[in-house]
Amino acid sequence: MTLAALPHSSDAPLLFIQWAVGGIVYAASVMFVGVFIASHIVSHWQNQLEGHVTMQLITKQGAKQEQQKKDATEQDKQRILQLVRGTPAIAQAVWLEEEEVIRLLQPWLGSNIDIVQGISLPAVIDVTLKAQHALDPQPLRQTLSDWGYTLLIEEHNRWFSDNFAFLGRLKLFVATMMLLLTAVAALVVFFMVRVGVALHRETIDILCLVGARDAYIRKTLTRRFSFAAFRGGAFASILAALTLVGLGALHEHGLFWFQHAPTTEKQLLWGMMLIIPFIFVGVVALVTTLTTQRVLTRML
Amino acid sequence: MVRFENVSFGYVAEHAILRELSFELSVGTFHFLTGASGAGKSSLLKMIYMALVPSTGRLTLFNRYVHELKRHEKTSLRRRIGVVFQDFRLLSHLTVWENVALPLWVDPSQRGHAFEHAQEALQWADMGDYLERYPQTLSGGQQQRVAIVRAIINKPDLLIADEPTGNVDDKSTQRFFHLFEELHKQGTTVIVATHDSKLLQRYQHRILCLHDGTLTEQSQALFTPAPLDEPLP
Repeated sequence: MTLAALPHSSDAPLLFIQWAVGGIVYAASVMFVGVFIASHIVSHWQNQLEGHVTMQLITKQGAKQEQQKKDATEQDKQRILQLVRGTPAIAQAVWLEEEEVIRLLQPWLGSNIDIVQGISLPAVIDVTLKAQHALDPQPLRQTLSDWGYTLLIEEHNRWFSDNFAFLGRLKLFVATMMLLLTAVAALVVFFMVRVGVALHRETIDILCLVGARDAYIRKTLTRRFSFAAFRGGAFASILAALTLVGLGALHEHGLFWFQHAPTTEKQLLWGMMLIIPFIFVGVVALVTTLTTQRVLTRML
Repeated sequence: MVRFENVSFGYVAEHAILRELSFELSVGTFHFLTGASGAGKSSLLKMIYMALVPSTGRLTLFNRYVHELKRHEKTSLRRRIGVVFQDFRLLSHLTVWENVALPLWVDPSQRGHAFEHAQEALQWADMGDYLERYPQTLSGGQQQRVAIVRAIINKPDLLIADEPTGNVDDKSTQRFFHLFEELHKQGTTVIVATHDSKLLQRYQHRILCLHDGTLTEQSQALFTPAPLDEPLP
């Protein structure tokens, strides 16, 4: 047989802790996993772009697309590619066909082919650089200039660094929010435990009177508050996991990165989406337990 | 067992409701504590079960100075004290059986036989048929019987009863005093606060009279019942 020294009924402080912790766990889980995925996406892009530059060749006469096409004969292409590939810092160079260039422009210009066809498209070469080699574009630029081309080199990491900076700030913001949410959880528990003790003061007095040690009362109350926090957190974590899995499923069907992510990364992300909310439950339950014990040590 | 030496107590420092009390309750004695309403009977009893601390003076319980006791030591001493209240103070979310088992349940060394002993004690108090009932479903007399059983389940050395018959009929009162007498015979020190003059006459025990914050002790032979809202002789 067992005996519950305090009433089982869900009183106001317990319900409040349950809902507050639920909200905190949900917000923290979604925020954390969201930033984790964003960080992964950016890292993935960075890995793809690292060591890559795009070279654009524009005919000096400023000719239109038709002219460029005519100029860029197969012979010219091979000659230019040979020159580019012969540059010391370049490991590989691939001439992008017009269809490929149009496909790359579609995210910015839309799928209306008429608009794209109205634009003078440059010849584009995707270049892979050798590791730990700095590209000196000057000799290449000079030779191509002699052949009647203006060379533009696009280094993706330069404009991508803004995204990294933003991501860094986002991570800092989320870390701050995590600390803030933990502090809010501790504060909610602190006040609710005080209210709870006041509410059960008579029962606690009787327990003291019949010889219950402080440790017993503390344990009983801590268990109640921790269980309420766990219950609220568990419910929120299931909800958060469902939300994240739903978002993940949308990514898988809609966004290119998740769709093409390597299987191991996909598994990692799915795992994160399922596990992170439950880790937050553990953290919040621990915060509740420690705060409750601390408050009760002072109050009893 | 209990010794008051010049003990004063007041909720407000300037206004002591108990002044310079000095008396002793020896092991195995039975005392009545009487006095008008508001004379400080409950405050005096609260000091004995350590719910209140004397403002001045020295209170000794079981040969220990209460002022010097740490919290866990007070808990240990409380396990040697049984307390019965006028308003029963039973926990409404627990059954009769659980209420009585509570003092044993909170003591890890006695938890194992808490329910077994509680059942035996309730049967002894003729409450065996009410084990699974909740206090609020019982009459005042039955609730007080449960409260008394809860107070004595630990076999306390000292039993304190604060107006135990205030909310019960004469038949129940006699029954409770029969229980108190039984415990007294077994060696328990008993102190009962009451302003029921019939009880004071019926049971031949020492009487402590509280009046105007001070205490006088009288033997039963010298006691003449008087209206308690008037000063005692």
